[in-house]
Amino acid sequence: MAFKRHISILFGLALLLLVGCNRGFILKLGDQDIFAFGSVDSCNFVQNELGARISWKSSVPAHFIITSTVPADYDQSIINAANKWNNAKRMTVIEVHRDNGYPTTAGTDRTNGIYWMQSWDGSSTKEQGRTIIKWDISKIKDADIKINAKDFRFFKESESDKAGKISLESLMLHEFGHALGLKHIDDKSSSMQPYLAAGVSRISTGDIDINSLNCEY
Amino acid sequence: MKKWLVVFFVFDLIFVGLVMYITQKSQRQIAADSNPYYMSLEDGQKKKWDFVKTFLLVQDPTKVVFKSDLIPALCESYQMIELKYVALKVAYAGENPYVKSVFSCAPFRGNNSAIELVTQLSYFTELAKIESHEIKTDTQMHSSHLLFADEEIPTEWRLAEVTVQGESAFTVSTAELDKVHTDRRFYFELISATE
Repeated sequence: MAFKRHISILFGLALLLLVGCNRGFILKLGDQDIFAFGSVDSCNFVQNELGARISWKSSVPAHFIITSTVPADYDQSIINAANKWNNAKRMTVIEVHRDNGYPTTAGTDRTNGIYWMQSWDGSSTKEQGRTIIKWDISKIKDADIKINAKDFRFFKESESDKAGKISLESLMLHEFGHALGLKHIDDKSSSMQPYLAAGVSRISTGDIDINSLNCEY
Repeated sequence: MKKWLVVFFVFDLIFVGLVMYITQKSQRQIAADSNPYYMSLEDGQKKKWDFVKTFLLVQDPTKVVFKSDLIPALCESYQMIELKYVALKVAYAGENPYVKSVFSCAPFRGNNSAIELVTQLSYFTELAKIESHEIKTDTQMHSSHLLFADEEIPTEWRLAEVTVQGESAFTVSTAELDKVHTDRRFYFELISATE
């Protein structure tokens, strides 16, 4: 009787060993073709490392705070720039308001500020402004816009003295484009062209900008 | 009766042994030879695939190390190897910051044990502060793009490109890295080095 029990145990072990052998092979390398689907058309959006477009997704409008660092004279130029995107897209994608009690330094705080910078990195003095976006997976969680007031002077569209100054509304239109997730676009009709000369106003979005936006919003 | 049971048990062990041998043998075949994507590649592409397959990225608290057993062999016919590390989850003006580490092939030629390309993590913060954004030695150059002294240094990074420079230069892209290495992501983090 005991002998039969031993034989049964041995058979059981042999069976387990047999099943265990076949569990070693789970995945074929060819199954990993899924990575080929990770890359999508950028639509001029920043993409993550897997090719997905970076945007606010359904969390629009994105709310931006004009901090106390920005001279109040320029509020209307900033609001006009935001409204250019809203009007062109026919929906509110950006909302802007002033809050003088808001922290005056940018950081990863899940709120979006606009800062008038009196100091600027010495190695990038040609930069008129800088928009920083940070995201999780592919959704923006934090955006900040810094305006280089150390190396540049700015004009409002209503001003007549534009010589040597940068159009703040044009600059903010461009920076809000970055804040929505757009990259630079090398197209003369685009507000996302990388260069803006002094005295020049570029205060309209181009068709290419709105076509890009339509991919995500 | 007992004798037959013993004979049966011995045959069963032989059978199990045979199944194990055949299963493991077929596993090796599938991994090495029967991957349909690999099999569909041209000879040159297969060589590139085999090269990429040797890549390994390891991190310790002070450095990130790119390893490949084929570096010495590659350096016999190429001049430089360039690694591009891209910051994740952050963009300035629509672009990811990145650091490039360029290594001269000279120290690797004829030295089969030289299989590591080392980038100090402290370089990532130093590069942001240096106006030229470059750190040079006799055999290496490290440079950065969109790292700023007045911004937080991104903490999450990945190896995004490997470029081998010289005659018939070539680049291994992010997509190729991910295609070949389904089990590794080549990510690393700056932790202590950011202070």
